[in-house]
Amino acid sequence: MRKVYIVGVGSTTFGKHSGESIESLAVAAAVDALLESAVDREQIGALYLGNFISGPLNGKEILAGIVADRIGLQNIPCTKVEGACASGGIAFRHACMAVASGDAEAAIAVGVETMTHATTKQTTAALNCAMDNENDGPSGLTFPGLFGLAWRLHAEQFGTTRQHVSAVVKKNKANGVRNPLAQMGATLSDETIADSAPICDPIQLYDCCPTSDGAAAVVVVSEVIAKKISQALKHRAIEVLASVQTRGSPSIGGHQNLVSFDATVTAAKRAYEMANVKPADVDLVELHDCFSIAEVIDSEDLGLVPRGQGGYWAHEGRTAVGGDIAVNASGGLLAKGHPVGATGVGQIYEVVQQLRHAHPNQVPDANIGMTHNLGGAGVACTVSILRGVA
Amino acid sequence: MIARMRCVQCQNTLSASATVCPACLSKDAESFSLPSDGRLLSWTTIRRAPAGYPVVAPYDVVVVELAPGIRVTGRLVAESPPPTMGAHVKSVGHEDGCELFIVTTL
Repeated sequence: MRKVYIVGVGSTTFGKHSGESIESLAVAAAVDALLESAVDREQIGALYLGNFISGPLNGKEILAGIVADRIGLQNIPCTKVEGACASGGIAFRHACMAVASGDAEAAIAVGVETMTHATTKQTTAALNCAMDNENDGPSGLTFPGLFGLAWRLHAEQFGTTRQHVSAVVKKNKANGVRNPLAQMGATLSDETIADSAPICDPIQLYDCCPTSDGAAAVVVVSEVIAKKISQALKHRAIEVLASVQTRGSPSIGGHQNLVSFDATVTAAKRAYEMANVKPADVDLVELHDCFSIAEVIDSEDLGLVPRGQGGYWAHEGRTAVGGDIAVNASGGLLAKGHPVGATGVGQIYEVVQQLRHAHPNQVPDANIGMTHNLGGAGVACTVSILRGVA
Repeated sequence: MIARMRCVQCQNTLSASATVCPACLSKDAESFSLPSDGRLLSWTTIRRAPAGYPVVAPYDVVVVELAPGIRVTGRLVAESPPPTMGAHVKSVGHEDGCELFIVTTL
């Protein structure tokens, strides 16, 4: 496989974009990424668009072709991909594969979602399409409920407390204050979090990410193109060392261990091998904290924190910017927001800014960064490892 | 007893929605009975039910291990004693595809 480089990124703010169409958000992010990349549009050989619920919430499909049309791409293959909350990560991985395989010299990944115009009832019904509705749905389970089940087991097995998990919330909300793209950064106290409304015990309101609108885009190119445009680039190119996609059980009963996601463990293992890096080499990670306890589990599944220690590390500040491993310096899904299909591409945007040393919440000396995007009850996962090129 | 399906060819326990055994791809399945009581692996109290769900929140969703490696996602009936980790639970029937459990004091 050929080497792949990121030469342009773009993103809207994540949050409420009242009155803006889903196409217009995707186009805004894609144009920013294209203009920054200095790549001719004629060279873009594939477009992948990550989106989960534009059908039920907007009555719109075929978004990949629509976005390509709006930004004047050639008659290239344009593909919408769906893997619930991992849709964006999957779009990025496919764009990388198009270049790595030699099928395209350049490709663009776009992620987009609009959710805030819909009622809570419509949104939760649409999101619940990511559940195994034959096996888990009849119990009345919801996604926060799934993580409530996992939290209780994590607490039982490892002694994780409300205070440990609140440390994740406080850190990500505080990181969000420093990120101008973030939807809801905040300075929170333990009391405010512990007194927030119960959702699915032990999950409370501040343990949940918000619903969001937003889009992000990334342009990837071959080594040949990267060299050709290097003089025109204002930023350093970022090398994609690995981009891996896996599947896990779609249903709860299929998980051997409810405090770990097989899809994440497998994806991380393959990504480390492919990138030839060790967990200790990773300077920062943007991981899938759809709920606070998910960050604890993900950080352990990715091998970045010892098993069972995720809550303790957060509480001790070891996952803060400047700590052992910076986790979600962007604010993560909890504070930056979670426009579902955009999230995975937005994570790439954040890591790229960190590796360019241009992030508003910069991790000191960042050289190797990771992203982790997880969908459904762990049914789809992507893990990517990026490196700044000197 | 709780009825489940298993593969005739390789005896693999099948999920409720399986039409083919994922281990051997056989389509021959047979019903068998699992014990109606098991151990509570975890639970959560749902305070906001999914849209259109016929049960009024709050209610407890439980994951029960009926036999080694065989787990069911179900719901506690309203009159159940409060759940605790590892508690014994017993099936008291099912409703709209959902297994219903009660915590039993030993």
